[in-house]
This record gives sequence, C-alpha cells and structure tokens, in this order.
Amino acid sequence: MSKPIELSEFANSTPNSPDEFPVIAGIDRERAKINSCQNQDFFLGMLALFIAEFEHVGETVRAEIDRGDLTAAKRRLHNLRGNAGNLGAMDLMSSAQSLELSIPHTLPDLNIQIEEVCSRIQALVQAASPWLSRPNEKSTISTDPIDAEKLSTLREALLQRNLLALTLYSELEATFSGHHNQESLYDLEQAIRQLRFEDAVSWLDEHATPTAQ
Amino acid sequence: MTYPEQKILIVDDDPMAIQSLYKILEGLGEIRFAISGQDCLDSLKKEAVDLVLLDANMPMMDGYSTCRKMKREFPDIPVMFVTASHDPSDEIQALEAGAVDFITKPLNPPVIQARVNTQLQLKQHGDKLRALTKSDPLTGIANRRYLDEQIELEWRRSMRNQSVLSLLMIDIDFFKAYNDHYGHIAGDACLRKIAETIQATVNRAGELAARYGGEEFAALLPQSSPERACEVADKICVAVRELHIPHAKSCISDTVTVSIGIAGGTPFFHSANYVMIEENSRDPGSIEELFTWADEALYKAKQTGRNRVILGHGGMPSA
Repeated sequence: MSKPIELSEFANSTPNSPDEFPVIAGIDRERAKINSCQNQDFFLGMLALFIAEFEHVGETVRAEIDRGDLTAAKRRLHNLRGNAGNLGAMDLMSSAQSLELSIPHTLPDLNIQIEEVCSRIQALVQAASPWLSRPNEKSTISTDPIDAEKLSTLREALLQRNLLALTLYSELEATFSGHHNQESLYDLEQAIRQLRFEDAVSWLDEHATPTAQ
Repeated sequence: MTYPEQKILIVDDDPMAIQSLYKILEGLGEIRFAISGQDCLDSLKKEAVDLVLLDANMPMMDGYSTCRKMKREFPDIPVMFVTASHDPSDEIQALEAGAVDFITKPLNPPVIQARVNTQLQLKQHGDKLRALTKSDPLTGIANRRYLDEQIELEWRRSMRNQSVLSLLMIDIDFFKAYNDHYGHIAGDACLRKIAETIQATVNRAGELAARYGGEEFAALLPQSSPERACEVADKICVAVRELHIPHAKSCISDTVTVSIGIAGGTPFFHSANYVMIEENSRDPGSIEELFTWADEALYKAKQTGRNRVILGHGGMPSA
C-alpha cells in the first residue's frame, strides 16, 4: 500500500504557465502526457469527466455492496482503475484495484480500502480544481460565422457515432461560444463529452444554424 | 490502388475509456463507438468495420459473449480486447472467444497504435484474399462460388422476411461460334465486356452479378419483384446490343446478343411439423428449384429465337 497523499504535494498543484502540461498531485505527469498524446486539453477534459463520474464513487460502491450488488461495485471499480491508469493516477489505480479484488469480502472489512479510494479521489479533486474550466470560462470565443459545411459534417458524424465529432466539435467550439449562450452551450459540450450523441444532435437541431458567411 | 479508410469500432460502456482510445487511434481510420455488446452487434449489422476494440467488462452482455456472437455472425472482423484486467485467465478466455489480441490498461499509446496497425494491415490483406476467392479471374465480377454463398444468405433472408427474390440466368447467343470464328482472345474480351455491362446494370445494394460458367452469367436480385427483374433483364439485353460487338456467325443479329431467363418468388417453408404458409406452386421451395426455373426460362428464350427475356415459372405475382 502506498503512502497517503502529503500536503507538500499540493504546493505543486497550482497551474503554471498555460502552455505547459499540468502538474497535479496524485498524477504521474510523464505518464499522463504519454497517455493523452501530449494533448493538454484532452487530458483536462478527461480529468473533468473522471471527477464528474467518480467523485462520489465511495458512497455509490458502499451502497452497491450494502445491497449485495457486488457485480456492479466491481465493474465500477474496474472502470475507475482503468480510467485512473489512463490519466496517470497510479496510486488511485492501485487502491481501486485492491478494493476491486477484495470485493468478495463484505463491508466492515472493506471500509478501510473504500476510505483510501475516497481520500485519494478527494485529494485529486482538490489538486485538479485550479485546472478545470467551468462553462463560463471559455478561453477562446470567436464571432466568426459558423461554417455551414463543418456544422453539417459534425451533425453527420454525431448521427453515425463517428468519434471524429469530438475533433470537429473542438474546432467549432470557439465559434459556437461566440454565437450561443454559455449555459446552453454547456449542455452541448456535456452531451458530446459524455458521448450522448443523440442529445447533441437534438441540441444542434434546436439551436445551431449556420450563420451567414 | 487506393483503399477506403478503414473503420474501427470501439465498444465500451465507459465514455471515458472510449475517448481515451479514440485519442490514441485518431488518424488510423474512421473510428466509431458502441456502448454495449448488443449495441455492437446491432451496429455491425448496419455497417461492417475492419476492427473491433472490445471491453471485457460490460453489463448485460460481457465482452466474451459479445465476441463469441460476433465471431458467429461476422467471422472476418478481428477483435482486440482492451481491459484493465491483467489476469491470464481473462486473456485465455478472450483468445478462446476468438480475439486476436488482448491489451491491458493503462493504455500505452505507441504499443496500441502498433498493434492496431498490424491488425488493420492483416485485415486489408485478408480482404484482398477473400476478394480473390470471390471473383472470377477473367471478368473480375463475382464467381459461381460467391453466387452460391450469397444466394444461400438471400434465400434465408427472403424466407425469414417473406420477401420476394429473383434470379436471372444470362447466356451469350452463339458464343461457341463467336469463339471459333474470332478466337479465344476475342472471346475473352467479349466475356469481359458483357460482364461489365451486366454489373453496371445490376447496381442496387444487395444485387449481385456473377459469372456462372463459360458464357453464362447470373444476376441475383433480392427483394425484387418480377416486374423489376424484367426491367433489369430488358436493360441488360439493350445494353449488350448497344455494345455493338460484331458477331458474323450469329444467326439472329450482326452483333453479340444475350438471352435471359427469369425466375423468382417468395421462398416457402418445407416442414413436416409446421404449415407456416400455404404452399403456392408459383413460389420456389428450394434454391435448386429457383435455378431450375431460371434455366427453363432461359431454354425457352433460346428456343423462341434468342436475344430476348423470358419470365419463367415463379415469375408471375401470386394470386
């Protein structure tokens, strides 16, 4: 079992220059860089999704074990450790793996391990918070017209569940920001990031029309 | 020769895992996703892909069951497992289910890219070989073996859906005389032109033009009524005439012509235990019967003067 997160590590957890890959306590930076193909935006997007998905995983897992749904608890921890590993959160990955493998045991025995997973996640949430943008903090906004052809290609990609939609959306994001209410645009972003492509198409059909060139 | 972009399907119930893989594989092909085993199978029924990356641990239908089902329905599509499990027994289970590779998380991008590339290349080579076994070397259109395979599939589909299917048997008129007069090289060129013409006419999705043997061709038209089959056959006759291939030894024309026999209908069940559908004598009861009827119609076309289309037994709409 690895040592608990030390407070000194948080000192390194503030954003440095914006073009540098983030230094976040609990994350093996070099591994994260390799795993995300050196793409800082992608890494931070994944990290935000990870936190949204697993921030309260301890409570959920505890409830699942409590009601005897061990399969669901194991699957959740399995996903947690896979994603933690992809993000470079290696200690969290190990803790999740230990807990996953201990699942045939019941609650009192697992409490310590659940607590360890929870504390690692909470530490990660705190360390990552300076890096994670909120919907009203879009860094780039463009008032250029929305490219009709690109919009149509994005819609087609979404309909086909073609993951090129993720790339196309990134390319259109700044222009969307210049033409749409940020709160509403947040719904589209979430739909795309969570791969709810049908919802994203509905959003486009309702809100997005190409602007004059 | 250029090939279309290869398609990769990522199957995982976890959107994060899908996106992580996408980022790594971006640029290697067209990458789509499915969020469950059933979703994967449904997606493949709509459109084939060149490689499936499959998560082992999914609710409802896990990766192993999905892989086994996939291999029954789509045996040519390679499957790579991507999982957080490092347990050798899981790897064995995946390979026994038909997987070609087993990748463990955390993902190592260069290794995954290399492995995926290898599988895509193997798939491309396999596709080329499969295409060679399906095509007639002289004309390049489907060969008889592939026609037999496809007619089996379409027959079963028509029986299941109770939909009509039609078969055209096409024969070049006086081809032996053509070969004797112009020689085999010209004969081969003639066969190639006719094949090309038939293929250009039989052009709807699911339709198939094939060389049946010698100077005989066949066209399989699933979900096609006798009217549509006649229309296609007429177009083929006209298109062949419009090739204006000289034929000095033909007794009916100065140029090469074809005769066509058509058979079709809705396949019915033969079963001792069930009377599913009242037997209709105008519908075929077997593939052999369908071929026999098409051959009889072709024979009739030959007997009645050639250069024509005869709609044979099974060609008339049911009463």
